Amino acid sequence: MAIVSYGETKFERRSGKSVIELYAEACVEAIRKIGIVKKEIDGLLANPCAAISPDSIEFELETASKISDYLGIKPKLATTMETGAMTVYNQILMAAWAIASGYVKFVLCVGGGKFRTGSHVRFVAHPEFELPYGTDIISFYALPAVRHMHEYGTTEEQLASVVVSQRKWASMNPNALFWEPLSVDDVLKSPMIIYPYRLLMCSRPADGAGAIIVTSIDRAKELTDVPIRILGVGEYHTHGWVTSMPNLVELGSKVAARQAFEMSGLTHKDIDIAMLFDPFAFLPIEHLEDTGFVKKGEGGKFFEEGRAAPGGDLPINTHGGALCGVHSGINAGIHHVIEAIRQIRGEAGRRQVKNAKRAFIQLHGGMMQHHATLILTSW
Amino acid sequence: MINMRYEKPLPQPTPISKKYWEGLRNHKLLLQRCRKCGISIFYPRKFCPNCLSEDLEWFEARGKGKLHSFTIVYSTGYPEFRKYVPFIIGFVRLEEGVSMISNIVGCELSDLKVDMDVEVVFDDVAEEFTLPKFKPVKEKKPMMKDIKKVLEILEKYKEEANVHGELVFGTYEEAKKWIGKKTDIRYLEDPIDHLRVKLFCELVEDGNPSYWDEEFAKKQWGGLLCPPAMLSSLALPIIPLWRPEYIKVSKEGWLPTRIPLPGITMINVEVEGIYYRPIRVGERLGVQEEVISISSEKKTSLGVGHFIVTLTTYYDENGKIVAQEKNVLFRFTPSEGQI
Repeated sequence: MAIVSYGETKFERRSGKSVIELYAEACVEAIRKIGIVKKEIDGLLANPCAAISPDSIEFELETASKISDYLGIKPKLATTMETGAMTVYNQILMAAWAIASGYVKFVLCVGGGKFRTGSHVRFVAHPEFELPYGTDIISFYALPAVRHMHEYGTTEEQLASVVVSQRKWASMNPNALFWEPLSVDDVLKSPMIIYPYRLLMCSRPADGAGAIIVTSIDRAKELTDVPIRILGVGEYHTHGWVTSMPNLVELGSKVAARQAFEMSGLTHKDIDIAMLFDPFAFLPIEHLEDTGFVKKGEGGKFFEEGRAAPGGDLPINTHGGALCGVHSGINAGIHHVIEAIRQIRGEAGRRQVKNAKRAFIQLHGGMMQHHATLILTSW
Repeated sequence: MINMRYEKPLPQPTPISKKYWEGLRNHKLLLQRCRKCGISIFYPRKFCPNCLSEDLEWFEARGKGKLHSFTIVYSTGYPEFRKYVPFIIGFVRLEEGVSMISNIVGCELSDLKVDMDVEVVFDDVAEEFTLPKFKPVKEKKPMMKDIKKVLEILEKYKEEANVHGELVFGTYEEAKKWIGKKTDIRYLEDPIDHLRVKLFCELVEDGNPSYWDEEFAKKQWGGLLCPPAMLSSLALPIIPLWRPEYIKVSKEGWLPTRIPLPGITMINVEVEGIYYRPIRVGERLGVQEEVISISSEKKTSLGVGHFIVTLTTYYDENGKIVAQEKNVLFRFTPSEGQI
């Protein structure tokens, strides 16, 4: 299977657009890029969208059919699915199965939404056994970080250096919302929100959407010079509530990545760039360790030494990541996938990594319960 | 009737979880256990998440565990919690093998430590609801009045108090020379007798039949046992008031009393032991003491002094090590307000 095209909207704090309008923009860009007629799109996979603002959370369900309606498409396959920020992984997988079976030819996978803040979202906490204690998204994500700091000596400076590294990349991405270069000190001076996370260590929500088109390799080759091949996939789900997390410092990403590497036949050394989903500054450190790029406990040092930054040996989150304003809510991982595609196709502008042929993408969803790995390569 | 003043979210129990919330109301932390595979279960369920059996029983948890991780909330998106910041959320691993998320209370932010011991406290937040929260297990420190009492007793029974040896006074510099010093193995005057074991168990109300029931103990161990916690009292050398001349006894006091330091009194802080095999009534033990470390001057709520760590090794009649205990005591001068 191959990814043959992509589209992405501008990221804005308050776009004023409806979620369906955002999705449609991304879809049309993806369709136009390869010059197929929209009639050929026979599959459309979307995520339910939460339009989240400080005063309200409005769920948009059946988004797949609403996007189809807006674009005038009547697909043979359309569903609205959700595994949090890694939904794009399941969309790609479902598209691949449907195409392999011969049922459909082109599947549009759409993600993103309107996202202003996440700290008041209640459905992440068990209403009986977690919510009464005031657990919100940030506090759940803080627990593994504090344990990791205790067990492996990861420091607040190292958490800050993840942000510094990604800001360097974001400063070369005209679409990143937060691009001003920062120092470790700047990050550590920002207000403490929930220990150990300071404001700048939390991802910055925005309105935005992305779309990719999946098709067979043969069709992809006819349509573009740079089809993106899906070389390896893997996923693993460890819990539903943080209370049941089996291990705070070893996440499901370990099993997912091992699966994907096995399928791809590649090793860590073959990887040119990595996208590690980053709602908070600790997560790229954890993903880097659990997916086997560095030994346990050495993730923080990796960022501190600038090895993930421009000029480093493994560029990570070259678009700036969710930390720098490319977080559109449920299915935000689609922007990490799109950045990998852009890099492999050589379309990343000033932040283009030389010879970025093989990308490793580690996504997760919900409160760290869903984990997925994609390994992509140029044809 | 629900307390209208309580604004934070309250649970809505299900038919399954009702029992859990009722337990809390009675200040009991109830967990489930699978009768088929034996695992402990939290949160309450109908099916065992290990074997899917429905044969689950409720039991009362000890309520003790370790703070596996924590976080401090300085800013929250939940409006009802805003006036309570900063508050602590902890991920607690209970002794029973399950994890719980709750608030940590009764703890200064600066005292929070990953892996610290915590125990449940019951917060009756509303008429119908009690939330299980956790607080640090405080090291048992003697209360002020206890210290006064101890000092009074010391004064009153000064002579008797000196049966373990008279305190030797000196400077920290002199004391440091004692680090690493080891006594010879001193065999106790008498074998461990059952009367003393019974007296010890009587005081701590320990009804373990291994200490009381000769028949049971014989079957189980080949004889009555000596409780491990009793060893340290055996190790204290008693300088007898009188012995016939032909009985030779050592006049050497307890090693920690012989270390020259300025503190006018001492208090035991902690004993931690490894017991390599059961120790039986009738055995005659040998004791050897070693000074492991002496801290620099520390100020505590009791007063100013030095912490002394010693290692006591117990030998059997064949010269084999049967137990070792690390002992920490505080040799100090009570601060003025304390006396």
